Amino acid sequence: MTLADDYNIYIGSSTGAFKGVNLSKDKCIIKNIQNVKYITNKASVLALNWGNVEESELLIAYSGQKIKIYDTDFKNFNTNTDVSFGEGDIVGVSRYDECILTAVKSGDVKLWRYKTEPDQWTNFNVGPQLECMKHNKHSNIIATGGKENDLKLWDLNTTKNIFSAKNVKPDEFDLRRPVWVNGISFLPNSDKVAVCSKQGYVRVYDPKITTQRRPVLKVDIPDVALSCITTTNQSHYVIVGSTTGDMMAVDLRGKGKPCYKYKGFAGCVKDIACPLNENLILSVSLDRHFRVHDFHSKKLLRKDYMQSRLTSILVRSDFSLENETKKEEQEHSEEKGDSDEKYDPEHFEMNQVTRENYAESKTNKNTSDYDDESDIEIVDEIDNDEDKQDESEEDGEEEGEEEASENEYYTETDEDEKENEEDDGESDEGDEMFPLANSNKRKLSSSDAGKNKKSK
Amino acid sequence: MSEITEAKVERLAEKVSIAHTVHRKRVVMKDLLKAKKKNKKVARQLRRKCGEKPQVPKTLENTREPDATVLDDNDENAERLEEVNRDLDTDEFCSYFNCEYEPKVLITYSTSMPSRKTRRFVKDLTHIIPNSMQFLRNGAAIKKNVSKVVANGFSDMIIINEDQKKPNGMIISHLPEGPTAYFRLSSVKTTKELNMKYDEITSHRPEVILNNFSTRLGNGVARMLGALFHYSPEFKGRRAVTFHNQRDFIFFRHHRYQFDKQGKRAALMELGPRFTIRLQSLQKGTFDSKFGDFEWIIAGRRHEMETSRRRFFL
Repeated sequence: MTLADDYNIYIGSSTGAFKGVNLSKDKCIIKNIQNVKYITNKASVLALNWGNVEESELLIAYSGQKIKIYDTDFKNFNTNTDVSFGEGDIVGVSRYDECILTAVKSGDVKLWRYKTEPDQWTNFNVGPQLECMKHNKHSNIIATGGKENDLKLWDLNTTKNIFSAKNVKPDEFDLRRPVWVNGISFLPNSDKVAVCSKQGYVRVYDPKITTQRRPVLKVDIPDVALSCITTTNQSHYVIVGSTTGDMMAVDLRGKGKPCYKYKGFAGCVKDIACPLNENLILSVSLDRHFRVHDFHSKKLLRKDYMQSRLTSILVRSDFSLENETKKEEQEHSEEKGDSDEKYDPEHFEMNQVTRENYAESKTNKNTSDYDDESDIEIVDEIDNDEDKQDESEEDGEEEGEEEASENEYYTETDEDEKENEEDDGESDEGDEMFPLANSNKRKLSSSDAGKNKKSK
Repeated sequence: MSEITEAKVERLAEKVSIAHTVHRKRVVMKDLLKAKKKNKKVARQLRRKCGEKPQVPKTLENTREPDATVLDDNDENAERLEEVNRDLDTDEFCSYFNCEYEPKVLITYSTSMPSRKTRRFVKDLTHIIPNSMQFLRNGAAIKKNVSKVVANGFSDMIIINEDQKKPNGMIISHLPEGPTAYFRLSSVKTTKELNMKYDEITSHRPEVILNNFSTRLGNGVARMLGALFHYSPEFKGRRAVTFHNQRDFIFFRHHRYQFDKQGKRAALMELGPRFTIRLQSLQKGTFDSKFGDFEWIIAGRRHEMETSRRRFFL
């Protein structure tokens, strides 16, 4: 777990200002990491990404094809490298095999292997007007897409195209549907890739099905130019933001539909991040504000003015609202009942949900191929287990039974997913876990039906 | 004194309550209102005698809701202010404010057949804005032709939209990199409608007064409006154009002034045109309402944003 004075969110802006935020339940500290005297609109932050698994290294891509590496442990900028190759701004940055990976607008992807000679550095072109490049963490796959440049997956070792998407069928007037991939995100615990577009659609591709290059799921959000997409801690939801300041959650179960809408924006949503352990949505916007929404209640929990137009956000994977977790947990074990009174009811519910989620993610993690878990995380899990035991002791046997049944359920759902992935997902699972969410869904579905009737 | 008047008010109020005909009630009511007014006056006079200063009347402006983007000048905000200043110093208008180029403005219409009033209004604009020209596009697409406009050396582009033969919208786009603002245009009075003649308007470069823009968004808009005019005014012409922001409505006026012999007061003569604009959206980049990134937009979320009459954005 991070230290109390450490930042758990990093934000980049178009002025080149780079900010660290320490968000916890009772306070929010925002500080400029880069000296404000030297910021300029000519060197704006375009992309942020972690450089390693321990998240001690942060890659920052600036306009003018420059990259800085920030060390989060020592809190200083290590290097300032010029990565000029191809034309246009950097659209994505990552680290693979101990070398920096960059992609620029002209479609040139390059691996900067500084240890070897420049002749051996890998570079390849992925097509013009590139808008987005995402690297699937812990693997050798990158996904690219842009304007009239549909999703493509590439193997970094062989620089070969693994998968290239095919456009959907023409519309009822036999007109070709325009393509403008603007955001890519790898869905957790599967090989699927979700894509959002300025043409107003979210599509999910499954590269494993080699016979089908068209999307396995397509959700149209007409007349909304989507600008960014991100996955949440629940694998069947993605969050998308639009250029006109709309943010919504899209449910990928069944035929898929936009379900929640988050309010409070005045300008383009530039980037969204969802922490793994909390049901929160953190977003940055061109209207110079950083916002925190609750996932299910859709409430705007926080809004902070940050002076510059914000472009990108990055969250630690161990992000948690409780900043001094260990201390609090000690209190838990000592006082048990009393500590619960500190929470307001909403938050308490939220916390319980997150714990259950955590259990789910844990089971999933075991199955997934993420082997490089740091020691710290494992400690956390143990802590969490203790917590659970405490709870079960408090509430008696019934709670324990429920838990057991839930666990059974998880195994069932896992199997289900394996058997048929496109199964209609409205099962009992949601009922137990998110009573709020389901009630909303029902309302929405009925209203959706109404809309459909009208449109027909 | 005040006690006497108060007693009178009370007595009359009692009479009103027991009045049994409508006519009687009306008569007594009249007296009551009079007495109340007098009571107020007496009380005020007493307060003045005691040395109390008159209170400031409450208006929407001075009770406006605090905006997060308005930063007070104190030590806590020093870093934030520095950041804002650096942002302003290096934004799209920095080259104008460093006097690196002379603005050249293209004014065009939304249709290929503009109405008489719109044409007159645009003609007025060309008289106000130095180094500007009007242009009939004949249906040429704006998005596609921005590059051509830039190639011709224009620094800004204004598009006047019209509806029902009246100008009702104004798009101001800074070139070559934006931003683009869309304003709703209303209460347009052309020079002719104000019974003024074009002979009155000299060709001297005017002074520009940008009034009352306080928030960060307002600052950006003010810079944009200011950048339409030449940076060095010719004071000999004694012309002044004013963009006055009041409750998010930006009022435009054009005057010629003359100081009296003591040089303390100025006499104003309005030259026209006269119009009011209200910001609808501010977009990053050149005109692209479909795919452009909006920095601020009110369309579609008016009820969400206009939560109070005391909330202003500029």
